[in-house]
Amino acid sequence: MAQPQHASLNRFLASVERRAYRMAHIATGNADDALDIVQDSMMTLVRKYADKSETEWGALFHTILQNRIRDWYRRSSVSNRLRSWLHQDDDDDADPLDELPDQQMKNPEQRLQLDDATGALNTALHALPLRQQQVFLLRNWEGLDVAQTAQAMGCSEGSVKTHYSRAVHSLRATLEDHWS
Amino acid sequence: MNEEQFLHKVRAELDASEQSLDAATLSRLNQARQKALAQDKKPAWIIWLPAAATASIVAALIGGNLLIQKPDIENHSQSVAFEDIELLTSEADFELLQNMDMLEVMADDAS
Repeated sequence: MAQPQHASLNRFLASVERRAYRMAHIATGNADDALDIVQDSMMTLVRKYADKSETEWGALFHTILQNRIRDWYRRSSVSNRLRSWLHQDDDDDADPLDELPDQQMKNPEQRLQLDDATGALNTALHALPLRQQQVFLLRNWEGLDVAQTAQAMGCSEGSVKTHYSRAVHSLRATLEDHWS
Repeated sequence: MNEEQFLHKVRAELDASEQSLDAATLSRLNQARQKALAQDKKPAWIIWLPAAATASIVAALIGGNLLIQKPDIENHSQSVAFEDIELLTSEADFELLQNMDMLEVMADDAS
């Protein structure tokens, strides 16, 4: 890969990786799975589309990311059905490192406020059906229009409008009392 | 809170959560990015060439095998044809012999 292209890709991926991780984390509810999804999306973009114009990378990355999230969702649905059928309990798999305090936050008060508001939002978003959740994030957070969202999600524009409207309605019903 | 205010609040919360990702996650994201950038971008023909070569060799082997087998099939057909002629011939002889036997019996009876 040529050096200027390498630098451009590095800048692009650095600019999208945090949001991509948050979107995958909201969808999966699991940090490791979210990181795997983001890494896989990055690798696919570099392997297949590094030669494309920089202006196309954003749309391509969102499409790849959404495909990976859907793949994860299908796999986990099958896995959960199998697990519930076998009555297995995975509570022992919790990583003790997850309990360590985060050193990056400035002070505990900030952390508490953020955890409260963000925690409520995370819970409400995670509770949404996957398509509603991802349409809402792409439209309201990423700022994609209806056509761009439909392309990334692989569905019709009418479907995007319906999912978005339902997501906004559900989130307002869940969060407005909490936030007011 | 109207809808626009609500959506603005959601965006602000999501932005805050993005900016407050812990150091361990940021480090792993950086590693993932470097790994993606470090992968060799192989041309498509490098991936397909071994498969195409294998398919060609298999096709050549099958074709060669069929060509080698073909004369045997023809010989086998020819040998079957000769056997048929021989059988037909011997069947005619057998009938002739049967007729000769019958003629001898009839001659004996007449005498």
